[in-house]
Amino acid sequence: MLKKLNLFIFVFSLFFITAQNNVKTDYVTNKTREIGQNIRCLVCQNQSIDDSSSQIAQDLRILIKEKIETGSTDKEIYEYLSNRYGDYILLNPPLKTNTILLWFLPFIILILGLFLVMKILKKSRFK
Amino acid sequence: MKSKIIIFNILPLTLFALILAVSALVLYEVKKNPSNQNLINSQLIGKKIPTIKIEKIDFFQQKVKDQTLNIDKYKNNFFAVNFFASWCAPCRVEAPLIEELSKLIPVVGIAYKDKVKNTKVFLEDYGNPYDQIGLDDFGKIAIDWGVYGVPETFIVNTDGKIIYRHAGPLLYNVFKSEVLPLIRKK
Repeated sequence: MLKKLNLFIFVFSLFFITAQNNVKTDYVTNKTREIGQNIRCLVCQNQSIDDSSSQIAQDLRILIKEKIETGSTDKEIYEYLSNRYGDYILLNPPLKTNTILLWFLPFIILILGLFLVMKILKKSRFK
Repeated sequence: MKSKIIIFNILPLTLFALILAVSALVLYEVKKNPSNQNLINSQLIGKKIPTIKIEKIDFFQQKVKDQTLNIDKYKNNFFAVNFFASWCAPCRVEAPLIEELSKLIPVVGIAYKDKVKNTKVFLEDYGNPYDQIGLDDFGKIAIDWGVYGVPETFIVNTDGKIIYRHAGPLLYNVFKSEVLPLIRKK
């Protein structure tokens, strides 16, 4: 009886070890994909490296995976890439002086538009 | 009331004119200086070169020697780094100009994702302008240099800093108008 129990515990712990291993690889794979979705494939037409099967995209995915495995943070990985390929490689352009217009122009246009609509509505009410 | 009407008539027109002017300016810049068409400017300009720990190709043994490239020997001198591959067609196009470049400054060749025996055939066919050749079989060195395709050529100055990068084949007009003035200045 004790023997059987021991065997059961042994087999159970084996499962536990593999399960834990799976959790770890799942984490790395998911993280690699998550970061890859924010990285532009430089030789493709507006694709992320997660979508692309081009050589450079594959290489960058491997690099990101290795960096995650060696404990780099997301920020460090993004910085590593933008230090080499520029902000162009980031699909989310960072807020900088030269991208202020990019970020705020839609809101400015919206406000201007609202202003115009209000003016026109006011004018038509007079008639 | 009249002034308001004028504003409403003029505002869209001025906006449109402004957009046109900006587009024209951008287009003009691109036409004037074709190298601006390189959307991805190198981030490494003005920075120290990344370390090149890379296995050297030794053609006498026809395999990679257990030895890394010696970059220290260019200390206080200009040199160029050229990423190429035997499978890359534009590399064949630029071969004569890399030859020209190598007459002025030493050129380090980095064979990108290549097989040593293919590199050897390529250099036999097109000439070997390289002072040293390293093998970047997994493309890791290239990523460290911000390379996104072959060929790419970098020029390093006496301080070991990258002063110029050209992505794509080095053509005569680029060589004459951009590369030569840099080397003459040294």
